Amino acid sequence: MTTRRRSLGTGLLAFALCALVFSSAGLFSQEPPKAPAGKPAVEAVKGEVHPAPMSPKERSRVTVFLAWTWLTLGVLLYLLTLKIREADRVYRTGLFRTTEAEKEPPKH
Amino acid sequence: MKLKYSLFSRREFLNGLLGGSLLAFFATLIGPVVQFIFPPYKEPDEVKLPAADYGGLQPHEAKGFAWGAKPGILKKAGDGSLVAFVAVCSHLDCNVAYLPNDRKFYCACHQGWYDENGKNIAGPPPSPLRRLAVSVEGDSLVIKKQG
Amino acid sequence: MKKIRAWIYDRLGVAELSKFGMKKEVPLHSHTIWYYTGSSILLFMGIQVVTGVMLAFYYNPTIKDANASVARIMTEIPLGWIIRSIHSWSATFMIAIVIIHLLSIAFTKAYRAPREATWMTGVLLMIASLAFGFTGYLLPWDDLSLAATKVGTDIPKSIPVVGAWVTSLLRGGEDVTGDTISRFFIVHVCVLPLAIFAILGVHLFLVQRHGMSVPLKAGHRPEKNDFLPFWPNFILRESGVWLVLFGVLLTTAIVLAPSLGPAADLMAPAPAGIKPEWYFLFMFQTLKLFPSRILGLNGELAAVAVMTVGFLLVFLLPLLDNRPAERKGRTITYAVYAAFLYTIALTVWSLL
Repeated sequence: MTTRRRSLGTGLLAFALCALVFSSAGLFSQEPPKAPAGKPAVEAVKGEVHPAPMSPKERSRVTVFLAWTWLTLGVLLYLLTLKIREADRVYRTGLFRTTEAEKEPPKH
Repeated sequence: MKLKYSLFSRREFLNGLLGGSLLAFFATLIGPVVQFIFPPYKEPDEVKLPAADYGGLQPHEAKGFAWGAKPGILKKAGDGSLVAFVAVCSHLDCNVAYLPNDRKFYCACHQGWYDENGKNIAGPPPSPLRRLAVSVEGDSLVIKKQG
Repeated sequence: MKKIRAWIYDRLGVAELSKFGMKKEVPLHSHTIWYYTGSSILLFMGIQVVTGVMLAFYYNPTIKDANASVARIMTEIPLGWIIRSIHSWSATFMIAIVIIHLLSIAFTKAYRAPREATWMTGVLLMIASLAFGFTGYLLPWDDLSLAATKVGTDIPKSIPVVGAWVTSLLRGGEDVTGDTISRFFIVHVCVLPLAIFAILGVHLFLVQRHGMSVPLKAGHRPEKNDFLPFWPNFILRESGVWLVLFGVLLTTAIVLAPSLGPAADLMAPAPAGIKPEWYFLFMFQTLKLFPSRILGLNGELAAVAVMTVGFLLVFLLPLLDNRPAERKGRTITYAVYAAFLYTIALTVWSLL
């Protein structure tokens, strides 16, 4: 594979990832000017106990944020398992293993 | 168009996907952190002052008021009209004072001078003082952003 | 670009570090899962540092503004309530995993020679974590935290000779006042972090020096090369664990965000139902069990003495358990089980 094609490919990948990042940031930017308006819907009668601000609008935004977080987490974990499988395979083939001579003596 | 060789190896593709989703995950976290660290400070849209407090102003006299967290100066011009400025120097944000004897605004930090209309006349300030619109509503003065 | 990287690597000596990292191996056996607890603590500590710094941007450690500033964080600052909630929950998670880590080391007897010093530094780290929790609890300055701090700083008074002096040192005077807030704040934000990083450095150095301990009967077969390279195999798995823990923390913090009580009133009577944080509940209940006078001694002093002895036993456990594979070792294991059950039982009892 030539260097040119490799750099082209990486560029395409980087562009796709940036699109992913910006779309996620875009989804998220709905939150910004909201919070000051998210005053606690309930204020206790005696002494001000402040529950977390949960106006209905903010509640739905927070739910979306949580759902998105778990979605990206799910994708990440799936890719991690693929990567772990690959790393284990490489280890089992002994490709990058240190030889017995290079290894430090086992500790205890 | 069919490629003869693939653009990247399977390992590179996997690494790229992993890195990309890691980035996407952390990007969603950067948002709230940044929002938290840079909370929106807004200047007030308007400030109401009791007209009685400012009734005794003579021409070419000025009195201060609070414009949010910044100082403001309300001045009576020579023709009797009221004019208001944000009393912050356009050079490096020091608070300016009104000197009634000279009928000028003076910034002590770097010796900047503004004339009685807020125009920068001497010293380092690069632009005039910011003007605010003054109107009378009943028994209070309403000061708003101009424009 | 490559040249800059090569320059940095050369000056810092990264090559030697990476050589060590590449060679480090993690033993594979039935108890390998406990190896993940240590780094999870580090994850939560990192989260605490970041959220703590962010909260400190807006928090005011003065008697007039402490409660008000926390209220401001929760209502005015965008998403402040999430940051505060994460900080509060991460503290709970961190101490929970510290306890799990301690128990896993105790039950697998990983403190056997030559790892006694690692255990001792670990116990010191646990004390520091609990101190973090204690000092942090006062900072919102609501009536619950005032009461908890009054009780907590009153306990040393029962110690003869130095008791009153220790309490005065903790409180910045005879009573809990604004000086106590300043004191607790600087300890929470400066003194304890420095201490914990120093002890942690020693702890991690010792762990790297002695390698990972293998339990006596875990079915580990070194001859069959039951090892996992630290990089990248173990690190990848660890990252997965971190991500899941982080997701759980975030969800808990958002769904179960803590509220803030009204500002503490120094003159008001203690509110009903005061209790310390969950990790102090068993001590709280133990204190309640002791009568006011026992064997001619002040009851509180007896309780403090018993708890001090208990702590010393935990600290010196590796030295006491010098024959882990024999009957003495098994007896000590049962004792550890019993102590653990005791703390659970008393914690549950204090909640009833």
